[in-house]
Amino acid sequence: MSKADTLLSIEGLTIGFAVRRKINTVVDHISLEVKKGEILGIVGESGSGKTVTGLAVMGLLPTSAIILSGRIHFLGKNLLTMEEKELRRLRGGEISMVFQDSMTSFNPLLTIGAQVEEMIRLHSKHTREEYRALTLEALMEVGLTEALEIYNRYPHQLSGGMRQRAMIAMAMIAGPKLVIADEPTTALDVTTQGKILQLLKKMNDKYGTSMVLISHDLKVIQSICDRAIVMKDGRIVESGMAKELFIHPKTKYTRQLVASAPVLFSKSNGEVKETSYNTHNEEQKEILTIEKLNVYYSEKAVGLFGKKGRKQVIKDVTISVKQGETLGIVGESGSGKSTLAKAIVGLNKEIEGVININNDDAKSRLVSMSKPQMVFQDPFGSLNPTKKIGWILEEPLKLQTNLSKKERIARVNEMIQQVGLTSEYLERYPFQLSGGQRQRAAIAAALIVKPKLVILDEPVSSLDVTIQAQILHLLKELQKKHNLTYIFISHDLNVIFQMCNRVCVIYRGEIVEMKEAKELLYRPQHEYTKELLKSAMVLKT
Amino acid sequence: MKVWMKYTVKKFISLVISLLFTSIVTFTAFQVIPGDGALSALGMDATEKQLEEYREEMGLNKSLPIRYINWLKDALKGDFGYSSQYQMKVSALISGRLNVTLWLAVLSFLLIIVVSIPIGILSARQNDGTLDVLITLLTQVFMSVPPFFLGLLITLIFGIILKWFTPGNYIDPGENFRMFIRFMMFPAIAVAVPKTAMTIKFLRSSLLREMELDYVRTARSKGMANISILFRHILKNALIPVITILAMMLADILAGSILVEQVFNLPGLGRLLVSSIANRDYAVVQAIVLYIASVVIIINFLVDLIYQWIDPRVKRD
Amino acid sequence: MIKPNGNTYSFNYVLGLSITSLVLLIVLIGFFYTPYDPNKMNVALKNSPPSLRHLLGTDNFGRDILSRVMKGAGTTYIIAVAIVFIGASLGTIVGAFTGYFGGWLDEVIMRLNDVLTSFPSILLALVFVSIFGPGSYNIIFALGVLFIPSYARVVRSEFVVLKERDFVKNAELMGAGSLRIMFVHILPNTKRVLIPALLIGFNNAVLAEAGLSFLGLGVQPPEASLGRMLAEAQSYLLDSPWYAIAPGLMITLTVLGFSLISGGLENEQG
Repeated sequence: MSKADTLLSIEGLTIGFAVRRKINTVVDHISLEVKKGEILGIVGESGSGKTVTGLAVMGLLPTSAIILSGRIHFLGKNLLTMEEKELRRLRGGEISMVFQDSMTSFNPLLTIGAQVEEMIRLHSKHTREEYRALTLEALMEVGLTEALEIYNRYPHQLSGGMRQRAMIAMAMIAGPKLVIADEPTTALDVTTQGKILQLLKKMNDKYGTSMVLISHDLKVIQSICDRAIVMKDGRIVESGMAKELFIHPKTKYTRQLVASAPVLFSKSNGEVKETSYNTHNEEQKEILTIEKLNVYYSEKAVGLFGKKGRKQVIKDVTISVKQGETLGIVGESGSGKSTLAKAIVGLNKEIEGVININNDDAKSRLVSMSKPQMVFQDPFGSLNPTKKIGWILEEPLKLQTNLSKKERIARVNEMIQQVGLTSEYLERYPFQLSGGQRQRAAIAAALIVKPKLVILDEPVSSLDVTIQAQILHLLKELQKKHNLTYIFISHDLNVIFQMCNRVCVIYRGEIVEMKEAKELLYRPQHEYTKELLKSAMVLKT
Repeated sequence: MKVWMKYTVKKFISLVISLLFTSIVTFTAFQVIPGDGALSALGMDATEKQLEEYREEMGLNKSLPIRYINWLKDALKGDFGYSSQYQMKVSALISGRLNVTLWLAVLSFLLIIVVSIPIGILSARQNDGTLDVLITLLTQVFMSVPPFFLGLLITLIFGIILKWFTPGNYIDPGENFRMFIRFMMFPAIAVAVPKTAMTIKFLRSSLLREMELDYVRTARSKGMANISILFRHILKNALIPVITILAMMLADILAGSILVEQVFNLPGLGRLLVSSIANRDYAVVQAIVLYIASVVIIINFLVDLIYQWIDPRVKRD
Repeated sequence: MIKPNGNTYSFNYVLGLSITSLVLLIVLIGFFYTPYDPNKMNVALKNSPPSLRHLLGTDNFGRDILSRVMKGAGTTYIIAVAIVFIGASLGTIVGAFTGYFGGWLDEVIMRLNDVLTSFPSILLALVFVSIFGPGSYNIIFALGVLFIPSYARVVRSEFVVLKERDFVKNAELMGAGSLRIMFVHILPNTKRVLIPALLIGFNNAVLAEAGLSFLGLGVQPPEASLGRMLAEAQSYLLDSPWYAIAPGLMITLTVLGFSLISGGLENEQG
């Protein structure tokens, strides 16, 4: 490795945020290099300092951030001591950035064309017609074939995938040497994710542009990176060739990260691990049957002359769920899976069809099995922010049982311990808990009335990988202990295969395939299922 | 049909409907008020026969919808009846007063815009600098001064102590236009100061909110200078909520700044309204209420058009 | 000043607290003690400038201005509190029901609300007073009713957002009734916007009362109120300018103090 190969080098970079006259260090003495033409992956959970590192290179740190020590050299020049004018020439011209959320990262009032074009206007001199031609060419290049039309569109008129393509066009148009992509696919559906990653790879191949790909998702890093770095709490814990790093992880933390995505890696290794599927019995009786369910969503009439629309979100769904099993429902965002969940528990009123919940043994005054309970995706949203955890857990008991105050408190204390928290947490407000603790509390609130059927709507999607694994483990434990039946809804195939006995694939409101989990994994029938599986398993060894 | 035309036509139709609706409500409301229209027009010592003739002549014994249609026909022709208080046509009475109110509105609205936009931008750019802290505190102080107290202070300082104008001595524009404007500047300042302060506060916080957004970071990542980002990207976004406030203020001052007119002894619409209410001169009150309602509705219509012009997201619905 | 969580309060917030405490103290003392009888006339002393005996001078009837400001501010405050109480409590109920249930009734009430709030509020108060006649009780009633729409709007928009949140869905699942969901689960979550709205509402009520009394439609003589005093002072601006300054400053300080506090609270919550 000669010096001449190095495009970017960071040495001993330490960044802190000033909070109440104290400094919280978020990046701690990190050093790394990016060579010409390579793609470097930085993987880590939220709070690991990976995004801050990316922003520091761009000189886009928020004002509360302080660079405490270190150097960032780009082609031999220190970016941290460079004059603002020179830095502005580099930004966009030499180093550009692709952001996570393409909706908020574009100005809503300007057309896509104007915003992409602005980049070359800032970094080169051409005539108006040339600017326009170059912009159209750049849009075509990223696969926006209707470039002429896209040029005049506003951000909200494009899909997430198209916006992200436009963002890549914007990052590439001035011919930078380095592109920093910060979670470029996180906001997208699985099927789109793969295409965007391939586009980045194509740009790297074609122009030799170096890239830094920042992601929390191993499979993203694995798919296109040459080398990778694992960050945790502001430090680099491990680095190496991307292909090697995750197959033979050296540190405990990396192993943990890898372990949280078992299906993906076990399949790639050619050996199928029997991921702790619940043994499930054919003879179990059915706890829930749904026949020919249609769910509608009525659009609000707008203005005086607006027509009241009615959109069908779920079409002809027929499902049965057996006692003790976990039925997975997998689909992308907008496929209708959350609507289905809400319809099952009775939160959605505009339905046709039959939903039968079997609760013949609701005798004990504790078992109020009339309704299944639900755990929501975002525990911050599902716990009332103005109430203490204790109050939140007690409320369902107040409403559904006639237990005395003392009995209720005993029940609440028992429940909070079952989800792995202590009684101290009962006195806290949701905002005083971490994401994982909040989800534990939400699970406790759902289970406290001893339901038999629990619907889990993306219960781990808002959590970091290591926390995800803990929560999934807890859910399995509780299922065994209380003989619970789960309907597990997720967009994440890895999580689905870890948890479920049977899986339905839902696409545009219809169930396109329903099978035993293993069957689905190895013998998918429907085209859409194949596509979904393909995009989740990009690892090729 | 193009999207914007469809939108405009839709908004225009709802403008017309709102105006009609308002006229019905206003008309009905004043019909319901207890009291005999004929009696209040002719006075207590009119005979029953005179009253009957008057009712016949004015169409007062017809049914409500017919009376409304007749009234609307007259109103569209600019005839709002007769003022019992001033013994003259309501239309003539109002147009004289409207002139004063319009001038006051134009002067104070210009002051608001010319002063608040630059100061708001300056304050936001300096966020939490000494100048910003000072501006923020001053806007709070000026927002807290009631306009009529401010009017009294202005009269005291500029009228009585400095003698830049003669308090209470309103000059008719037909008489001496320069002196009229000079006199009107002082009430205009009294109207404008609290509203300017409010606009500054609003614009500042809107700008600061926008500066935190992702698209600003994107613009910086392109290597754009901060000042260009402010004018090319942030300002337009930040002005969207400010326009609503400005429109409400415009409606407010076009309705006549009653208190300030009172302090400066201006013969404007606001004072006419107060005296008409005090003397139960309902023909005048009705006409003024209708005028104000129309101003409010028309301004809302214009704001909708401005929104669709600057914000592409509006047309979606 | 240090808050429980270790952050410091902003300068403006502390200033607002100090001003408000001072103003409240003056008003509070005024309920029990004033240097002179606020309504006692003394022709010999009329229009005398501030002195040691009469700290803020006397008015055209020789009444002590300090005493009248103390009493008058008290009257203004009581009226303002009553107005806000009527407006906020009824407005909260209307906003909660329309926001939570939606539907055509919501449409109708909100359209009505739009119409009412787009009118300059002093005008509506004028029309109201013209029908019911002037006086303190009438303006409490008139302004109280006129304040309903703004609170209804604030509470409604919070309810519209909050009712879609998962914790409300969760409460529905648990089997909580609509009233319990509205007032036990959702309402406490609106305090973030409701408390600043109460403070600002108080300010608007003080200004509205002062305005109406200034036009002679509010508190009737001989009772003192800040707006009433300013109206009287206008005629004597030439001879005794101090007469206008005292009540005017009192209004300004009241409004300033509360809006600084409310601004501080809003910043706090980001």
